Parts: sequence; C-alpha cells; structure tokens
Amino acid sequence: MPNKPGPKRPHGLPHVIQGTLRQKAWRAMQIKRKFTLADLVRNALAEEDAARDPHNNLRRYVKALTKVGVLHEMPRRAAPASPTSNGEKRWLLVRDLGRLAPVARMNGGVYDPNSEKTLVEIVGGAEASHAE
Amino acid sequence: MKDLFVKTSNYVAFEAGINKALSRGALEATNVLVFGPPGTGKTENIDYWAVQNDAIHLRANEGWTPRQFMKELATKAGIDSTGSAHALFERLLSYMVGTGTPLVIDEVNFCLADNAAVMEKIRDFSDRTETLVVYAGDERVIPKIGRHAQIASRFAAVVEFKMATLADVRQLCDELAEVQIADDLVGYLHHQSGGRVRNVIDGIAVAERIGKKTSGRVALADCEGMEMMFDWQTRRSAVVKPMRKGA
Repeated sequence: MPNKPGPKRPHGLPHVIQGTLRQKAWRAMQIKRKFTLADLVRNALAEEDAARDPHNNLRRYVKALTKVGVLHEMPRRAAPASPTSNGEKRWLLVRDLGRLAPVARMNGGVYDPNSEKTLVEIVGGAEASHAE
Repeated sequence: MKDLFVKTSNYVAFEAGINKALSRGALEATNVLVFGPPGTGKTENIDYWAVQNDAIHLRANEGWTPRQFMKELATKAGIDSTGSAHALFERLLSYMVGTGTPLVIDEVNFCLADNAAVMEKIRDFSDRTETLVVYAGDERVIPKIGRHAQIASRFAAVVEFKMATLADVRQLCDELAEVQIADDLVGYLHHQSGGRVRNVIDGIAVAERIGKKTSGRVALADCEGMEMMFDWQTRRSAVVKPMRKGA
C-alpha cells in the first residue's frame, strides 16, 4: 500500500491560540457580563490591531456562544442612537467557562479549552451538553 | 459612530501611573489607585485596560470578606476554590507567581470594611508575588486608605480621573464621529455635558445624524432646536437655542 501524506491520527487536544480578538472579547464578556456588540468591539480592539471587520467576526462568535447556551440574548435592547434604529441587541453571560476563551468550531459547536470538552448546540431549549 | 476606545487625558494619566508602578524602586509598591467622581469613565478605562492586559477583574461587593475575595479570585483564575483558607491562599500564591497576571479591583470602597481586612489580604498577595494591583473607587476612598499607613505606602501611583477637558471633547468628536464637527459645537458639547463622556457621546450621535443629512461639517447653527443630551442631575434636556442674528 503506498504511503499517503498527512497525519495518520489526531495529534491530541485541539490547538488553541490565545491573545486573539475573540480572546479579548471573551475577557470583555467576563468583565461586563451584560454587553452589546459595540461594547465588545470597543474593548477588544486595540489601536495596533489590524482586525478585518471585527464586527462581523465578533457577531459570529456571539451567535455561536448563544447557540450553546453560554450567552443569553436579553429581551430589552440598548437605547437607540438614532430615530430609525431599534437599538442594539444585548447579551448576558450566563455560563462563565473559565479564563481560556471558548473556540467556535466551523462545523457547529464550541470547544471549551478550560474543561477540554465540546459544547453542542441546544435543541428545543434543552441544556447544552458536553461531548468528548 | 465608530466603535472605538478613545484614549483621553484620563487614560494617558492612568497609563503613566501603571508605567510608574512597573518601574518602581520599592518592589512592594505594586499598587495603583484610580479615583474620581462618577461620570469620569473610571470603569470604562479600567475595563479596557484589563481586557488589553489580560488582567483578572474583580468587582468588590458589600460585605466582602477575605475568604470571599480569595474564592472569587480562584474562580476567575480557573483554579480549585475549595479547601481551607490556608490551602486556597497557597494555591493562589503559586498561580499568581507563575502567571504574573495583574489584578483589577473595582469598587474598592467595599474592601475597606472591618479595618480594611480585604485590602490587607490583597496586600499579602501583592507583597509576596509583586503582582500589579489596580484599585478603582470614588473620592471617598482617599482618606479611608490614608488611615492604613501600611496599605497606603504600597501605592506607586494615585491617578485622579477628572471630567473631560475641551481637548478631550475635541478628540472624542474627531475619533468617534463619522462627520466633521466644528469648534463651536465642540465647545457647546463640552459646556453642556460638564465633561461627562456619556453626555458628549449622546451629543455626537445627534450631530452625526444632522451631518449625514447635510453631508457636511456640522456646526452649532445646524443643530438649532435639537435636543443634544439629557442631564439626569438637572432633569433637563440640552436644546440648542436659535442663534442671534449677526452672531
């Protein structure tokens, strides 16, 4: 049988990079507890950061965390800044997973590097469960 | 409005205080105190610094005890918070020495109860581990901390947060607004807000709406009759009065 290139098996734990925009946003969520997307961008983005479209990046991150029950969307929005705006959505951090920022997976679910487990999407209001 | 953190003169002074603490002569002087009246942006500035520097941020509560402080610190640090006070203290010490994570304590007023028992516990940590600790509170903490000489001597810098200056309001307008704001409107926002950043931002949002309609530079005359901000202290809105002819 010819040798195939590439890894033969998983290398172990998923590789988690810290110090990213999402890591900083996670830290901002832990500090603020209740926040809007603008709050996260303002706190997470440093002058020297060359983040491409941080709003979109963090919106997707917040959506992923909401799906697995880490965040909860609040019923009341923030006061609108203009007459035609409904106001920004607000979220509440309901499950503080720990110091390391959870990682949103491309194929759904969120990896928690603190517990080294994957949180799966809540279906029909059930609690988020852990999967190895 | 751009979602940016603006480094006004208060933040610059705060950063200078941090640098002073980091380059201190006395190794045990690892503390920085930030104080000032409400509305000066203490919490916003400290939260931003904590996020950027990966600090552990704790908000002191009424009735906080040294034990509760240690448990909360352990939870935030992601280490086991159970066991005896001594075991918990040892675990926290090794964590803080190992990581060098700075500590931010907001609402420091609540750490001063019971002869500043919580601050004494924090001092135990910062003296041993030389961890940078940033405290934030209102003006009332200054004389209270001053009564405890052994704690007060640990402060490498004390930073007073003041109301935004005219230059700060100019900087806020330049960096946050998506339209150009004229000097007379900047002066008006500074005067009406009394230097409260939140009110200035409300005014910038109104100016931006006008600027987007007129697609030009927004001056005070363009805002005639507009409610620029609401002052909770006087419970009145700041509405731009019509200009006098020839003014």
